[in-house]
Amino acid sequence: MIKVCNINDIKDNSMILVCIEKREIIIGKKDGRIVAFDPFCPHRHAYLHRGSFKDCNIVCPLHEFEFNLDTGKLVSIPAFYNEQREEWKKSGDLILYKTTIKDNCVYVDLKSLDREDEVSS
Amino acid sequence: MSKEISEKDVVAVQVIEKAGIDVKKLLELLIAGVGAEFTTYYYYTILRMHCTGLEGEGIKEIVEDARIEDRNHFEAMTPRIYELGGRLPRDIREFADKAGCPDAYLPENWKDVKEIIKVLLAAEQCAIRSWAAVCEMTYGKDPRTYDIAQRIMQEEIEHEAWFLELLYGRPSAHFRRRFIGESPHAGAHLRTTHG
Ligand code: FES
Ligand SMILES: [Fe+2]
Ligand SMILES: [Fe+2]
Repeated sequence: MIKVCNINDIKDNSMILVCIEKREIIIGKKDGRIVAFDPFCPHRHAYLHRGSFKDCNIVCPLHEFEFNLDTGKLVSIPAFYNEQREEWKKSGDLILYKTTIKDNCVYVDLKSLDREDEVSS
Repeated sequence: MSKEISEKDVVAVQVIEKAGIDVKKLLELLIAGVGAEFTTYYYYTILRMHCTGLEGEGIKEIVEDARIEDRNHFEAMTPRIYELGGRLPRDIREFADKAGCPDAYLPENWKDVKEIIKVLLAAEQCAIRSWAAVCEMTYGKDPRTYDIAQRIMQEEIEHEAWFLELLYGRPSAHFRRRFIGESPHAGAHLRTTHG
């Protein structure tokens, strides 16, 4: 676990981009709950910290796809894209990181930071 | 050609990695960005063909400027992908599937010129967001990519303003380009005679 910031560094219902061990992650506070996830949208890699929270989801600023903050799954696509081809709409899952709060400090589990594509055989 | 060069030995890549750029992620964003420019150029061709009648004639030239400038954006950023060690997908279908913006399909009721302008506006707005993401990733870290992206973005901002004016009468300060597809900003990164 790596200490990232103080819990009060993040306003409620907002998020910040931080760099730990040369890797960027987003730490957010959604209705008082701390969440951590990859900064890049799994659809077309837009920065997610310019997005917003909606219910239990993060909404990407580029195409407004919504990803669930508990599962990382894509849960909603704006109706505007109904006509678009499935291939274009296809998206991976958002990478989520485990967090712990101790003495008002936010810690992130670095083990969960390992992306699938970086796992060596 | 002599022995292979390791990507790790490319100084131009080393320096931006040291500055904090995740080159793999940047390349994904750039390929999505130029994919959107390329597909938009294609779809704008269809849209421009359907600017018909008295009203359609009035917007043909402005659509053509936006169309050619989008092609210029593809031309301006693509060399950077190769400099960074990336490449365009071998198959154009894969390229289109990876595009950062949706397909700008001809609307069903295209005889209403306003419906065509709505499609153009949505495409420009997506392009602004997509180049803004590149600017954000490269600002202060990769001046070359940043410079190209910010120049493209300036033109996308102008394109959005033109279409907002046409749709809602919001003044855009638009006056004709000096020549079709002039690209007053991104043109600095074009190595071909454009327009
Ligand atoms: S890039 Fe995030 S929804 Fe498309
Ligand atoms: Fe463009
Ligand atoms: Fe444009």
